[in-house]
Amino acid sequence: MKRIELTIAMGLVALAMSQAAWGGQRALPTYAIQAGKIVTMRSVAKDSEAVEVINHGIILIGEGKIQAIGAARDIDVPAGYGLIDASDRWVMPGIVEAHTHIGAEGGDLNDMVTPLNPELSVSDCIDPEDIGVEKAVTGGVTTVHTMPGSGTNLSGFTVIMKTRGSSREERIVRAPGAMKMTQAYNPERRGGDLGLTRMGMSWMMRYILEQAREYADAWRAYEEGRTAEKPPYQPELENMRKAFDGKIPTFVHTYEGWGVMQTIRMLHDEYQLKTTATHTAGGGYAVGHEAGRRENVYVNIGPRLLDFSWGAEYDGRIHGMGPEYYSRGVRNLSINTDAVGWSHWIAPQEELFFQAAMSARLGLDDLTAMKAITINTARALGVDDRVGSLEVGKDADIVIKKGTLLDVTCPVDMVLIDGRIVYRREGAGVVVREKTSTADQKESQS
Amino acid sequence: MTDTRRSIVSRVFPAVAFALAGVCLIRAEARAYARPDVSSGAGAAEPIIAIKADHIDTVANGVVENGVILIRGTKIMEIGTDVEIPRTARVIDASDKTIFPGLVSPVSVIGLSGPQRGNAVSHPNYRVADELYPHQHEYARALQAGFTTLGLVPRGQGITGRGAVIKPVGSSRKEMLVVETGILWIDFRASDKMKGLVKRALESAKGKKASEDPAVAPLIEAVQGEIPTFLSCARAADTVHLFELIKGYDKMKPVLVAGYENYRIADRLAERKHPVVLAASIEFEEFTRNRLNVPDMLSEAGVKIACMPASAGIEDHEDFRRQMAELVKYGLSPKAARKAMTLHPAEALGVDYRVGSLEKGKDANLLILDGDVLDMMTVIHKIMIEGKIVYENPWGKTQ
Amino acid sequence: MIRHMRLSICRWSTFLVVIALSAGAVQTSSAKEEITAIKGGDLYTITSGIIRNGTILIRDGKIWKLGQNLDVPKDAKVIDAGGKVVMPGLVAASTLYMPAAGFAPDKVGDSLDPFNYSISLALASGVTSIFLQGRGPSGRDPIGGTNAVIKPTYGDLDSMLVAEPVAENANIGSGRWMQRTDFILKMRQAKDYLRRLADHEKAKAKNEKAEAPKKPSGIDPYLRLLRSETPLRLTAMTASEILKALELVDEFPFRLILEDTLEAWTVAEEIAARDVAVIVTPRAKQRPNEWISHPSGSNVENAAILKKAGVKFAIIPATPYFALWGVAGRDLMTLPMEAAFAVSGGLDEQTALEAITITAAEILGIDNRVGSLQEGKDADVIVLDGHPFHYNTFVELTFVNGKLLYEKSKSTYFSHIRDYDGKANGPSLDAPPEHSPLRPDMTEQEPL
Repeated sequence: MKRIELTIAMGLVALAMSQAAWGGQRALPTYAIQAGKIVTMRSVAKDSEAVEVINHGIILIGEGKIQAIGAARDIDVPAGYGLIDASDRWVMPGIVEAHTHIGAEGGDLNDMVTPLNPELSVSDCIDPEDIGVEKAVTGGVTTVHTMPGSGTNLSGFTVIMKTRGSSREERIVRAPGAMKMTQAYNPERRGGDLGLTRMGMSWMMRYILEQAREYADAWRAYEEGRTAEKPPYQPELENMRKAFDGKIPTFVHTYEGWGVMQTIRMLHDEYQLKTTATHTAGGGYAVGHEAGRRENVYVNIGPRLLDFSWGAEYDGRIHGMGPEYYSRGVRNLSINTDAVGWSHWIAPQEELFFQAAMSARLGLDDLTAMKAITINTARALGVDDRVGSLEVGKDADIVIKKGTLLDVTCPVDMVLIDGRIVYRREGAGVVVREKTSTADQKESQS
Repeated sequence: MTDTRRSIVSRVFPAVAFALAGVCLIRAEARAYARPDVSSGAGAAEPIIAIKADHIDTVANGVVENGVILIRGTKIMEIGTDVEIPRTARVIDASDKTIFPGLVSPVSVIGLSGPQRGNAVSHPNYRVADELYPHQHEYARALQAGFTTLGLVPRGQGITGRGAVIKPVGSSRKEMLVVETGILWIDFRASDKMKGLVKRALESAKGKKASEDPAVAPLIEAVQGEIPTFLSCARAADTVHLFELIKGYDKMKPVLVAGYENYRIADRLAERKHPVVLAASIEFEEFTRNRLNVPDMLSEAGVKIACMPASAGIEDHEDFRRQMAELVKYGLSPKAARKAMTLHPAEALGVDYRVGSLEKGKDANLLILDGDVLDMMTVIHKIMIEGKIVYENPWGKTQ
Repeated sequence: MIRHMRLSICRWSTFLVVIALSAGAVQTSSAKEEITAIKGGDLYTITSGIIRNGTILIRDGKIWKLGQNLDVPKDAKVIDAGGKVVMPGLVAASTLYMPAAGFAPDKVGDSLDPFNYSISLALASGVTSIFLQGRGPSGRDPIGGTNAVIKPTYGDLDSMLVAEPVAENANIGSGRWMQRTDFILKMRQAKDYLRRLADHEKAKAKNEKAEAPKKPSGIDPYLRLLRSETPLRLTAMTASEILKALELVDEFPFRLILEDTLEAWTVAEEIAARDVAVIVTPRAKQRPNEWISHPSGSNVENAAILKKAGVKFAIIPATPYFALWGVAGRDLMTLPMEAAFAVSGGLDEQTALEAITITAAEILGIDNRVGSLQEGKDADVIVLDGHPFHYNTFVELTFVNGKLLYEKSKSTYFSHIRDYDGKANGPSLDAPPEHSPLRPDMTEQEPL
C-alpha cells in the first residue's frame, strides 16, 4: 500500500473517531480485520484483469466504510478499534447480485395489464423480511439488484439494496437502480394484444423509448438553458429520463443470438443507453464479440449457465456460457441467480457463489468467475463507487470464509455490511473483540 | 417280274409311303408348335412383346447394353443382347431409353385408414386386404411415381394384423392383390406389456402346424416362416429387446423396419443377415447438426437394406426417387440404392420370386425411363405391369 | 502282425490325443482375459483409506488387485493416472426420472434403453450404479410397483440391469391413512402367520400333531419385509412423518429406507435407534413451520447431524436425474457437489464420500458388488482430474464392469473444457499465502 494513501486513511480514521466522540449520531463500530488473504477485486492497473491480492493483511473499518487496507506490516491498528481475527481465512468483498426478485413483495413482480409500465418501481414494495433476503447473507450476498419480472416489455424500475440494514433508507443503495426491459419470450405468453410477436414487442419498446428520449432531451435542454420554456412534467417518464441522462443503466431480459443482437442494436446503438443483456441463454454468446467490443454493453448470465440442446452450435458439446463470452472478448461478465422466493429447484439467492463456481467449472477461470459476482456486477450497475471491491472509501461489505468465494465445501463464516457484522455462522470460530469507547473489551467468538 | 419280287414291292412300298407320310406329319406338327400362330383363335398363346433398349438394368444380374427384353404374357421370357425376336412380337422401340424394374415399396399405408389410437393390441387376424379399396387416386399417383408393387401394412402399436402386397392398378381387390395376407406386422416398443404380448403370441404358435383359431393361424405362418414378419422398431433398444424375444424361432423370417437410431447397432444387424427396411431420409444425430446417412451406414456395415418412402403420405412416395438420389448424393452406393428400391424390398415382402428385378420368369414389371432412375432430370415414359403398359407419360420429352 | 498294428494304432491315437489336448491348451491360454492397470493415482478406496500413488489391476470385469508397488503383468493395458484421483463409480440412491427406462414402467428391465443419452451422461458424470423408480403402488395398495438398479452399460442391454426390484415401494406416508391402516393390518397378519408357522415347526419337531397354518392371501411381500429379505422405501419429509414411520418399524421389525428426509436432523437420535437408513439432499430448502414449537424445515447441517447421531445416509441432489436444460450443479451430473454442500454443513469428507458410494450401495443392497475399491468387487472405477469435491473436477475415465466406457477427451460433452494441461482461460489467483492454511487438508492415510 502506498504511503500517501496510508496517510489519507489515517486521517479519515482520526476524523471518524472524532465524529464518534461527538456522540449525537449513532456510533458505527470500528474494526480491524486481520486477514490471512485478501482478494480485493481491485485492478492492479488500468486495463489489467489481475486484481490486488494481499497476504497477511489488515482492513480498517469505520463509519461503515473501508478506511485502510494493506499488508499487516504497513498498517497500525488505532486504539479503540475492535478486532476480527480472520488470520487463517480468506477475506473478500461482499457478493453483489445483478438480477434477482427477492426482497420485494414476495413474488416475481409482474404487473401485466399493459405491456409497458414505466411508472412502476420495486422500491415501492421492498420487503426486508422476505426470506430470500434473510438467507442471502448466509451465502455472502451483501448487495442485490431486485427487479420487476419480465412479463412485459418494460416492467418498471429496479432497486439496488443491501441485504441488511435497520431501515429501508439505510438499505437502499440506489433507487431507481436500473430500467428493466424484456426483449423476448415471457411477454409473448400474454397474447391477444399488440406485442404478441417479436415485431410487436420491438415496436412497443421503441414506442416508449422514443417518447422517453424526447422527454429527456427536452428537459436537458431546458435545464442547460438552451430553451426557455419549461417542458410539461410527466411523472411516468421521470425514471426513464434518468436512464437517458446516463444516471442509471438498462437491464434487458433477452435470449438467443438474434435476441441479444437486437438488444445491443436497439438499446445501445440506437438509443445510446448503458445496457446489460441479462440471461442470454439459447445461443446468445454467438454474438458475444458484438457485446465485447462495445464498452457500454454488459453481459449478465444466469440462471442458466450452459447451452446444449437449446443453443447456437448443436454440436453435442455442453457449452458454458461464461467461458464462451469470455473467449469472444467480453470482459465485464456478471452472473446472476434470478432468485425468486426460496427453493432448491432453482438457484436461491445465497447460492450466487455456486453459480459462479459452476461457471468456473464449465471453463471460466476462477478469478473471472469471482469478479463476475463482485466488481463486474457493481460496474454494470454503476455502484462500483460503493461496492464490489475492497478499497479505501468503499462500503465495508465483507465476506470471511476458509476458502475462496467459489469453494463449495466451506461455508461463509462471517459477513459485514456497512461495517456491521450482520452474519456469524455458529461454530465458525472467528474471534471478535468488540472495543467500546469505555475501555471495556468485549470478546466473543462464535 | 417274278412273283417274289412283286410281293416284296407290294409290301415295302406302302410301308415306306406310310412312314414318309408319318414323318412329314410329325415334322409339320413340330413346326406348328415351334411357331405358335397368334391368330389361331381359342387356345391361342399369350402375346409377345419385345422391348429394345440402350440400357437394361436388371438389378439382379447387371446391366445389359443395347439389349432386348422378351416378354410373353405377364412374364419375362428372356433378356439379352442377341435375343431372337419372334415375328409375331410387338416391338417397343425404346432405343434411347433405360429399362429398370418397377419400384417396390416395402412399407406403405396409402389408401388405408389411419391408426387407431390406444394401447398396444394383439389382433393378428386383422387384414389390410379387407380394407383395400382400389379406386383411390393415391394408387394412381404411386404408380406414376414408379411403384409397381406396394407392401401395405396395418398401423397401431402391437401385433396389429396382416399386410398385403398389391399392384397399384386394377379395378377390383382381386386384381390389385399380389399376396392377400402376406406380412405379419408388429409395431414394437420395449415395455413389459408389449414384450409380454409378443411373447404370448409367439408361444401360442410355437410347435404348431395349424390352428382353427383365426388369431393363431397367422402367428403360425409367421413362426414357420411362411410369411415374413415385419418388426417395426423405432429405437435400437427396441430392436435389441425384440431380438431377444424371437431368439430360438429360427424358421421365422424377421424383417426389421428400423427407425434411424438403429444405426447404433449396425454391426449386430449385419450379423443377422435379414433385410432391414429404412426410411429414405437423412437424419440428424441427436443434439447435433451432424447429418447421418443411415441407409449408407448400414449398407457399408453389410446389411441388406430396403428403402421405404420417408413418411407415410403419398407425397413421399412421389418424392421417393429424389429421396433415394439424395442418399446416393451423400454416400450411398448407387448399386445399393437401386437394390434398395427394387430387389431387397421384394425379398423383404417375400415376393422376390415374382418381382424386384428383371429376370427370366419374373413378372414383366418395369419402367421405361429416359435416363438413370436416380437422376432427378429423368422422366418415366412408360410403366409396364405384368406385360401391359399401364401408364404413358403425356409430358415426356420428344422421342 | 495284428498285434503290431494294434500297438502302432495305440501309439498313433495317443499321439493324436496329445496333439488335440495341447491344441486345446494353446487355445485356452490365448483366450486369457485382458488386464487393465491404472497406475500412479491416489486411490480413494472409501473403505480402506487412500492409497497414494497406487495401482489398481482390473481383470475379468472385477477389481483384481490394488495397492502400492504392484507388479503389473507384461501384457496389461496400462493407464497412467499420475496426479489423478481414482475412486469407485458413484452410486445414485434415488432418481426421479431416467429416460433410459421410460416413465413409471411396470417392469424396469423390459423398458431399458442402453442407447439413451442419459446413459452417456451418467458415464460422463461418473455415476455407475443408478436406482430407478418404476411404477409405484397402485390405487389403494400400501406397497407394490417396482424399482431397479442399473448400470450405464452403453449399448449393452444384457449387462444393464443389476437387480429388480431392490425394495418394496410404500405408499403409506402423509395423507395415505387408509393405505397405512391396510399396511398395518397386513403386517399383523403376516407377523401372526409367522408366529403360527414357528409354533407349527416346534410342534412337528416334538412329533405332535399340528395343522399347518393357512396363509392369508396377499401377504407374501409383507413376509419378505418381516424376514428382512427386502427393505421398504418410503418418502418422509417432515419429523412427524418420520416418527410415524419409525413407529411401524418398532411394531414390525423390518428394514426401512426413508427418502427425502428433509427434517431428519430434528429426529436424528430417534432414527439412529432403529435399523433405518435415510436419503438426504443437503441443498434442500424448506422454511421452518412457524406454527410448531420444535425445530423444523431444512438444514444444511442435516447430514452432519445425522452422522453425529450415527444414522446411515446416502446423498442425492435436488434434481435427481441428468439435466441439461441449463441450470448447472443441481442434478446428478454433479452428484459430488451435493455431497460438497453437506461438507459445508459440517459433515466430514470421508462420510460425504461414503454417502455417494458405499453407503448408497448398502441402501440399494448392492454393496457386495460396488461402492468401494476392494479386491473382488465389480471394476466400476472412475478417474478424476482433481478432488471430487472441487467444483472444477471432471471425470476423465469411467470403467463399468472393467470396460472403459467413457473418456472425457474423446466425448463431445466436455472435451473442450479445460485443456489437458489443466490451464484455464484468463488470469488466475496467485499462490496461497505462506504460514496461512487455505483450508483443512484432505484426510491423509498411511499407505497400505
